[in-house]
Amino acid sequence: MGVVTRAQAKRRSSHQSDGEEQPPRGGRGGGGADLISLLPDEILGSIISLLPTKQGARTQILSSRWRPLWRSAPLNLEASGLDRIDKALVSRILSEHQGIGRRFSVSPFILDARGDSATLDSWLLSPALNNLQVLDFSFFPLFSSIHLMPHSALRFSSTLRIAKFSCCQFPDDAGHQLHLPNLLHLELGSVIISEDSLHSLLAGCPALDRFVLRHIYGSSPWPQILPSALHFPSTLRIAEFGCCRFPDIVAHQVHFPNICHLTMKTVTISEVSLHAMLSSCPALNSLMLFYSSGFSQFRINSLKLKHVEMNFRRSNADRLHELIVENAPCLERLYHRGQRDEEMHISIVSAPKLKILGRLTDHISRLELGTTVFKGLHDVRMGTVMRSVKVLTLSLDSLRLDVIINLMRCFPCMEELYIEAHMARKNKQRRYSRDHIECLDHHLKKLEISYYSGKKLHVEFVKFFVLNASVLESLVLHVDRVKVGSDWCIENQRRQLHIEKRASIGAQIDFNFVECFSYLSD
Amino acid sequence: MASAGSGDEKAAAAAMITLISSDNEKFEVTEATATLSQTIRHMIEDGCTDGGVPLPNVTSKILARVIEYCKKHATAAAGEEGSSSSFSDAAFLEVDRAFLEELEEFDDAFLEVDRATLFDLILAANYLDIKGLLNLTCQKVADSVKGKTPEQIREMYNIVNDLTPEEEAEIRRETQWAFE
Repeated sequence: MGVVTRAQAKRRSSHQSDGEEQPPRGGRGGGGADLISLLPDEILGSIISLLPTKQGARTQILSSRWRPLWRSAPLNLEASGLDRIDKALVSRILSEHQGIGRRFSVSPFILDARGDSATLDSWLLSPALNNLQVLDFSFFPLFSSIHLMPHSALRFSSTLRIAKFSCCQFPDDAGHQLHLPNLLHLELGSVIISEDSLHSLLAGCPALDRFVLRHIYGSSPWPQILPSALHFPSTLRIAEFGCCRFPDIVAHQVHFPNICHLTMKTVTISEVSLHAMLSSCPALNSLMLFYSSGFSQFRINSLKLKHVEMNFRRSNADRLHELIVENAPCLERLYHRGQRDEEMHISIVSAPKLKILGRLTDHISRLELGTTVFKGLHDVRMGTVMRSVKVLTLSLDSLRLDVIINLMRCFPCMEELYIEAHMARKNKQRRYSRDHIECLDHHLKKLEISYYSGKKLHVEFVKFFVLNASVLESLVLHVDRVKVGSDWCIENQRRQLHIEKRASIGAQIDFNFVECFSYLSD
Repeated sequence: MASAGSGDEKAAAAAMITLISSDNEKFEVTEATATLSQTIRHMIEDGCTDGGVPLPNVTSKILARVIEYCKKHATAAAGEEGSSSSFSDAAFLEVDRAFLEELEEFDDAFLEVDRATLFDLILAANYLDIKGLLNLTCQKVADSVKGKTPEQIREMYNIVNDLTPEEEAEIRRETQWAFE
């Protein structure tokens, strides 16, 4: 032969290098080879820095190969305070560490004394935190004097990816020099910051993806959000505001092209501002409004919105009274949870993809679904049927079959029905015809009833589904053990419900005993 | 999706790169795919990719998997660039989000490999300087030992404890807080 082509030569040399440089492959499938210890120090260091603090440190004891690694790996120090990590220990770990930093997290249970601003400063100046990517600290919230956030917290601006600061005062003279090119997630919790500083801070975060601004839960009125808090970079996708008063904004004045998740918790926002926010977020995918007030009517017009969840407490007169889904072509999940005695008007004009609807109560004064109108859930004028709805949740004072049958006619393709039956109130049972209820014959697969009492009214109600739901797969009855008493007997219930005569032979029927229903977890 | 695809096609029309594995197998990839590797990006910038890029540290089996990862993530990156540029149309973003979810699923499935392959992927990601892949694979290893005792970790990875009882006692003394 004599002639060696370049490819052959390369193949030979690559085989050699393969043999020399990749001894790990020799152990493949050998069952016993310690492959992980053959990884370079740098990689083992990365893996160690991804472990919780204590576990990272414990890797020293694995073997002599691992012993020196933790001290030189990027430090992941989470001083949680709940686990006997105290100030002296934090200082010691930082002073003994030989590598750079990855994550430093200090809970308010550690920064709980008057002079702790200086303590934090000395920690942050430690070389062990150089190149820090994640910084998260909070001073103790119930402290009379406000701690100044040390300037040293800003020395990681070129490497920080996540920054969470809580219960401190942002230095007034620092905002202007800030440039945080890699910061993706910024969280300010009860941070006192001037309008100017906040503006510069947000302007200095060109890659920001998530911004959280909240105050600790205290006495109302909530602090007003600075208008500059809305001047975040257009890259932002996730925004969350908590315990504050939202500034007054007008549609077209602001524009948030990329926000897809917006959460407001315990926020007061005017009706005008709420609608302006919605129209300023054309890419909005999910909207969460929890315990917020200041608007009595909410009209949803959004081309991209998929999930809306609202939760209201019994509060002042400025709570929501009217919810109108005017045009939401992508809306899949609409969940409204108010006090059960609130009079609500809900109207869905156009939501062709609506799949999950909750939580309807028999206190709804008026429910309009296209041309179908419920005046209270018992009085219906049928028109539009919504075939897209697959899941429905209800909270009812009285379990009335005529109400449920109407709803099944309105949502003929419903597959899952969840009912909270609060009281077994006596009610007039009318004659109802069960013929041709598409939902019962073809779709209803799952029925869950909370607060099931096992008394006659509840038994009659559930029996109807046992005997008529032809494709039912699962029936779950949650029973409050305290309420029903000790003589409650499942066998007796199964007999009364005619379970042996069930329409869907494959249906699984379960009784779930709960010690005490938590109304708060609602 | 269409936009993400057209971004990829644009790159494909621009340039193809040949990667050569240690066992001399050739892989043709788009520049967009190849430049997820900082190592290769630098080679392209230095103009030394003509005639193919030899990767003597990476076998064809591993290189094929690495390329699979890069292809998927290059398309995603093209999508992201598109969204932050002038094309900030809401309809596009919707697709972008669906794509990100799909990407997560892809990553999960991608990591379903035996341990030796996982370590080879880590080494390849390190050598080729592919940050996303390196993070993903290191996280997978970290997750696998999270919550385990040193004894369980040794057993899991066949680590032989060659420390003397005195050395062990010393480590426990020095970092007592970690062993409480």
